[in-house]
Amino acid sequence: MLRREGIAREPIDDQEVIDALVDRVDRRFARAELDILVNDCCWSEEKRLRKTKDEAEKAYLGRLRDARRRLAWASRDELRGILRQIVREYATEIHGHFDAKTYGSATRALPKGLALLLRKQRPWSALRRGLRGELTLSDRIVSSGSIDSFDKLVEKGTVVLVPTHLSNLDSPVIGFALHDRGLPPMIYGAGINLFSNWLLSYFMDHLGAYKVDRTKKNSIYLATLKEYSTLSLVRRWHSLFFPGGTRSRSGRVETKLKKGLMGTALQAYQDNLRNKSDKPRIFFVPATINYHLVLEAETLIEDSLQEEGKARYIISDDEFSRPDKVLGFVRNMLAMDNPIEVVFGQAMDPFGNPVDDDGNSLDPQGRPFDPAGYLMRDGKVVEDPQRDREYTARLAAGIADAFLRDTVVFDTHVLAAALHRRLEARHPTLDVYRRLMLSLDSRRFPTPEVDAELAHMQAALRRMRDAGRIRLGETVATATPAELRVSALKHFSRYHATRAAWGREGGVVLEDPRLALYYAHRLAAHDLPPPLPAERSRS
Amino acid sequence: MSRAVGILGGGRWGRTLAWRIAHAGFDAKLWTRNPERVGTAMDVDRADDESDVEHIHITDDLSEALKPSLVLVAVPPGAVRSLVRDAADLFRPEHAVVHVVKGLEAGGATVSQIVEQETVVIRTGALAGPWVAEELRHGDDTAAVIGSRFQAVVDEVTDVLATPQVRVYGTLDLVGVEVGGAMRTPIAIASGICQAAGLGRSLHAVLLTRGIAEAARLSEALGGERVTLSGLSGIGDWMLTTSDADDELVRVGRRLAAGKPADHAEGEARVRTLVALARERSVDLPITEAIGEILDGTPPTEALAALMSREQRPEAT
Repeated sequence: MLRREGIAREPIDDQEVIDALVDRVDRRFARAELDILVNDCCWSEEKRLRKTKDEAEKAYLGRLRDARRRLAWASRDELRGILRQIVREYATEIHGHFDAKTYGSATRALPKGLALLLRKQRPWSALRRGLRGELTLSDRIVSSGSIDSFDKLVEKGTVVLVPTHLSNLDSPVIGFALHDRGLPPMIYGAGINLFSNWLLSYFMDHLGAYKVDRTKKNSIYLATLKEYSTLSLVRRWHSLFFPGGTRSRSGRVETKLKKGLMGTALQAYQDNLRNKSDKPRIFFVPATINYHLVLEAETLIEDSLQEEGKARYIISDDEFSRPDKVLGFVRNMLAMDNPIEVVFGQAMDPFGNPVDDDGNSLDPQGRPFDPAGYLMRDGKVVEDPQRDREYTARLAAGIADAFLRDTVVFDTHVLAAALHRRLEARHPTLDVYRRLMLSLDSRRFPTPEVDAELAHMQAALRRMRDAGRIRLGETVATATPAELRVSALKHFSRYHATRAAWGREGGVVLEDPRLALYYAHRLAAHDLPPPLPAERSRS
Repeated sequence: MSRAVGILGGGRWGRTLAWRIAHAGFDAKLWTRNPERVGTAMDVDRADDESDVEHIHITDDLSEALKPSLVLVAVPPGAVRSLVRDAADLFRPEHAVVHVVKGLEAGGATVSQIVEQETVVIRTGALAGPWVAEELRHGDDTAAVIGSRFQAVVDEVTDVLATPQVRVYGTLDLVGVEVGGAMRTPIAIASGICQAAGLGRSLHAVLLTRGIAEAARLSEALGGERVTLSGLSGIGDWMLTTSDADDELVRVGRRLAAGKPADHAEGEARVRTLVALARERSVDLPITEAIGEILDGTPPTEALAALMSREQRPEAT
């Protein structure tokens, strides 16, 4: 079934959206000391852009300096004017990516569904042509899980899709998965740096990306961003954001999630209740995006292992900045069996309760109930930011649990983890960083030792799968340890400059322990039993 | 009509809370399985104060007691799950459920966790402190702490219970308050053993301070804060309990010191639950473990010797 509606049910009037956004931020700061707020913003931006050579940024800085000079003697109304001017600039940048002309004329001139269908198909057709002779994307990007429920919920309220985040390919992958299953496109915040990549920019346009500049840390910008998210949800624009905040540097499944944007759903829900919206409910759909191999794995694990990892929040020079690398990776990936699997989890309400297909929140006994009462006192919606933070923390915990449950483990993850566990068993007194520095000789393992560890892990993983704590790729679920090992080594030989591991007669060599650690980390949060003792597995 | 508060449980604490709430001018809707017996008990309680009676409504209808949005739970820990499960469809998202139950369920769940696992209620809390039911009933000066992750619940309970005679402190560390209540059992039993065995006052002080250290470790492992155990729900409550020769848990300790059986199934269960929980979370609770061993038959002197011969270590661990 193809959705008959797109991101919005009506053509989007950019100017009206920007005006509404400016009003929301203005109301948010109604009681703030505006001179201090604006001064802090100017100071923060001055610091960030002091060495810029970009003419547009210089002009922006000039406008801020001008505003700063007026602060000392400005009346409250004048201060509000300055604030609104700054917010308008940010609002235009954030929302401005929508091409209202194209989008509007398409939706007006043609039935909405057809317009979106055409918009949807163009990029994928191009990619298909570019990859002539290969299998179709539908065969390569498999999606599973609560798709029917998702399909129904988009009609019952507003859906917020919250996937795991490993690669910059996640956006096009999830966009394709949505399109392929007849689900509507979603708006999402994408790092402004990504818009310089022609390939990604193409897909982001299809997805309805809005711009997020992570280098801007000032309160006015952050408030504008949050209010934009709230406004989107109030207007029933289904939204997507990555609650991990950025790509998982270590390869681990995200367990600590950022709650800022998540919390905007509660604000939007309260607005909907106050405005007596006919479809006030907001649903979170967790999703995992699972790869055999990750394009940027080498750069990401390096960043994770270095102390400055955190400082390099935005990596602008990774594999993704090179289109030839991206296309090479995609070609290799498409030649694999089931290289990418997207799992849509069970939906939740903004309080972390499960939701049924009709959009009802469910109590622990599975009975439907109306969650509006969580926000009310004596029948009225009550503002309480501290309460809302607690509710959002509960939601975040529910999403993190879903991430673990719906992680699909592939042979590459299991073999990488098995080799690191053998290192750990042989060198129990060394920490992981010291184990990474062991010589190549220390990283050679006899095949029986590797296969014994694989069997040990497969048994544990299958028990966890049976308990609903994880999902297994087909090889991990059904193959023998030897078959799993061969399959994983074949996958490792496909793309990365150095192989994580390779096989030789009678043994396996852990060639790039850092890269292997990245893949091993996918299992780090799943409480696997300890590795087999060194003696036993070697005998 | 004045604002109402629901109370589940017609035991000593349920009745005392009903009196306090009524005295503060709120309606108390007290649920019990046996309204007649509780009514008789309250007739005895009210010896010197008639004015609050009209604000107390005793009922065996759970739906009546759960009409108010603030509900206090005062039943034994082992009875909480079945009670809230049976009444699950009567709880609403707007409810705030606060308990005065000291102890964990056999599986290690706190009462607030049980409420969240069985009902739609998210806003939970725990009220604890060095309270003596009779003193509270008679209006003696005292203080307690309400722990909840929600400031609004802290404010609501404070509003209902605080009077010139009762100070109510608040904390967002619900876990810490619940751990303080749970750890009271082994500490009280250990105190009874010390008293009966004629061990010195010095050792008693060591028991309390090292007890705080191990409770703080458990609290931290469960997501709470260490400092809460140094407050009213921790050391405050324990000082009261261990100084009360008639406290039932202190008497259990006395019996154990005399080589007699504990004869207190609930106290034994609470200690065993803590021991199991500590092992599961890899938290070091030496005093609690020692009480567990004594309950299993180890002579108290032997358990004490083992405690005293543990490896020397820095205090702040």
